[in-house]
Amino acid sequence: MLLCILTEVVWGHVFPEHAEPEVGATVTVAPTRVRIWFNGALEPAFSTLHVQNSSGEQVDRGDGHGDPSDPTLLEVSLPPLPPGIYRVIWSAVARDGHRTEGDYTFTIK
Amino acid sequence: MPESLKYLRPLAITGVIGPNFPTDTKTVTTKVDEVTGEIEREVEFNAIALSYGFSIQYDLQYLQSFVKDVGLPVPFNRMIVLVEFPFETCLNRGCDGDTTGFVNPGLIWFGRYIQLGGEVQIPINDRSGENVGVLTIVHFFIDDLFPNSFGRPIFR
Repeated sequence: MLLCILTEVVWGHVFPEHAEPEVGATVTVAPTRVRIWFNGALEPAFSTLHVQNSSGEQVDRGDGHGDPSDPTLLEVSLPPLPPGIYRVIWSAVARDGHRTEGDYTFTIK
Repeated sequence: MPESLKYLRPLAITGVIGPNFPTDTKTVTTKVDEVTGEIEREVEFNAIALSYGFSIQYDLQYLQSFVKDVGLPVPFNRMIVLVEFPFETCLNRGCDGDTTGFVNPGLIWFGRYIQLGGEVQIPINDRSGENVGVLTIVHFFIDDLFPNSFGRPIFR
């Protein structure tokens, strides 16, 4: 049974190592950008990062991009945001072509 | 799942059930007694059995990356804590209703290229065994270890 579980899990993809703002964090100062560091190099042309408000509207500046000096980093800039709950939605394609997707929230008080 | 229950999001419950049909109703073993020289036949009846089980898992990586960064350091930020409960119940041929099974608490750690797992195997009754055992497994991600050979499509 252990074998069945292990073979069902496919973890050869990249996953977030840490993020700014942190996953699930509550901040008092509105961040000017969202940054996520992954555990492997990304293909920036195929990786995306968006931020939505609690109504599901995209609120980032639409300039999600990788960092030429750090291939593990994905970031997007933000306009001044009011207090609320925001959802970060990411899609990361690793150098080996594997895609992973995910999302998390942070709160501005 | 509501925000108040967010720490339950990394929790998973899995289950499996299936019958085991033997290809023969009995297994006959013949051997020669070394003392008397007589031929002995041993007959073992193969019963139909029902295998079933479930597992409870908590994914610390999912907690850290998708729910709440609780600051787990390496290697705990890449672990799954789990308990498995595999059982088997005999259905005929003299052992109707006899059940064997185990409680297997364990850990899985996974990186980008390898996955390691270990469990303690605790029998639930005398019929399942008398001693505590250990299960381990190593899983290599072949396509990630060799992205230019096994990790590529054979036909393009």
